[in-house]
Amino acid sequence: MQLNKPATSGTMDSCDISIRIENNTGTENEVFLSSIVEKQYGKQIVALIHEVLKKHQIKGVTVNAVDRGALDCTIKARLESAIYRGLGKEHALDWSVIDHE
Amino acid sequence: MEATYLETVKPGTKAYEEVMGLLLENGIRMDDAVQKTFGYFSDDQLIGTASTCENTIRSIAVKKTHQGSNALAEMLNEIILVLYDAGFQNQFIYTKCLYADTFKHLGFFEIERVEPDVVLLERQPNGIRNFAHYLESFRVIGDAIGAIVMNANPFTLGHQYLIETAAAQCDFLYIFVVTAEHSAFKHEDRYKMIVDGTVHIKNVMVIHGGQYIISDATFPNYFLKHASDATRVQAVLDLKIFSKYFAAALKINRRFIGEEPYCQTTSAYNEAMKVILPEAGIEVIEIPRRMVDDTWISASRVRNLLKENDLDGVRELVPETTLIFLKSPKGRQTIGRIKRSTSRH
Repeated sequence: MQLNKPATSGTMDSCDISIRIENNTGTENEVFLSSIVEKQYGKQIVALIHEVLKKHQIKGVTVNAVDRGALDCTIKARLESAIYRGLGKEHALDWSVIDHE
Repeated sequence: MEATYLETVKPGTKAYEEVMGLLLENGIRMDDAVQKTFGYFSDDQLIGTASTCENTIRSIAVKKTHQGSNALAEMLNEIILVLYDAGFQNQFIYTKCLYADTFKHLGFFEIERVEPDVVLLERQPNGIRNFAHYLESFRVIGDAIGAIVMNANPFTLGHQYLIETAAAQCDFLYIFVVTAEHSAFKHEDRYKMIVDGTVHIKNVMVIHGGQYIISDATFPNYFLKHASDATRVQAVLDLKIFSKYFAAALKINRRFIGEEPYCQTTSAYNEAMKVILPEAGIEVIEIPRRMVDDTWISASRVRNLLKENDLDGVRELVPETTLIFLKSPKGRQTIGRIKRSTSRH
């Protein structure tokens, strides 16, 4: 599933992450990350982003993430709000998917 | 905790003077093409500034005491949101090469640079690559592949002559129409006038120029009257992007230009072209302007005649197809706009 519109969430404040998510021309998800802890946690953050996209059955999007040292729970929450905004469902959250670990 | 906020700063105010002081302190000029200036304040003290021209962010500076903090990222984030809200899907940063890495760490991607003066970055990770793929879909087989970049404000017999002459010297010719809306005639109308005025030429294709050629991002000074040093740098940037992406995608090996006796900016562009493009294996061919009754045909002359309501004069300088457009409701609307305006474009 792709998005209905591009979406943004988060900030570039310390301990936060800024997410921009847009449809791409393919069927794969693409993640671009710049992070102040890229060397230590870069791979882990990218993997987390892919995992959350997959959980929400999102395919064919490009994520531009600027991480300023966010915790995993913040990254997940920011990405999920971006996804829901992109789907135009920010007022109809699917808690069964969000809660599911 | 300190309260930080972003605010528009208008010329003539005290805050604007502070912005100019902050730029000066950091050795950065206020860009010629700026439309809107922002101040970033912390507890009512100016700690940063950035300006925009459409979807491009320029003249960015942060107070020395706040450099190395997160202030730049926070300010940039606010501006990005303003531009997204304004409907710009892609955004550009125009800055000195020295700061390229700083912005790459803030989610921007390099398109091209002119050392040491300027680097152009964009927010979409695949912006220019996607555009290059889009261009590749128009590729045709041939040896001599030509290109013209044209504003056609409006499309005259001079433009038509340039295209006919160029097409005769090529297997195939691409016409890129300037997309930026800084001209009396809207982009879609200019596009239509070129298409209508070239239907009789078989080996020509008209393409929307898009964000990467003579645009607010690559060459905003194109739309200013006077050529400055910044104009020349932008011309080089624009041409390097043309060679690297446009020419590469479509195998363009010659670019045609109309001889430019009037406009300082266009002639600066043409001069830069003769230096930059041959380095990339693209021949630059200048076609002398066409004359009617001992005077040059030019779009600005047509606009002046329209202003003076001299339709007979206009008829001498434009093809039938443009005349039909000028008489249409949209054309008449544009003429009304020209009559009220004082701008050069």
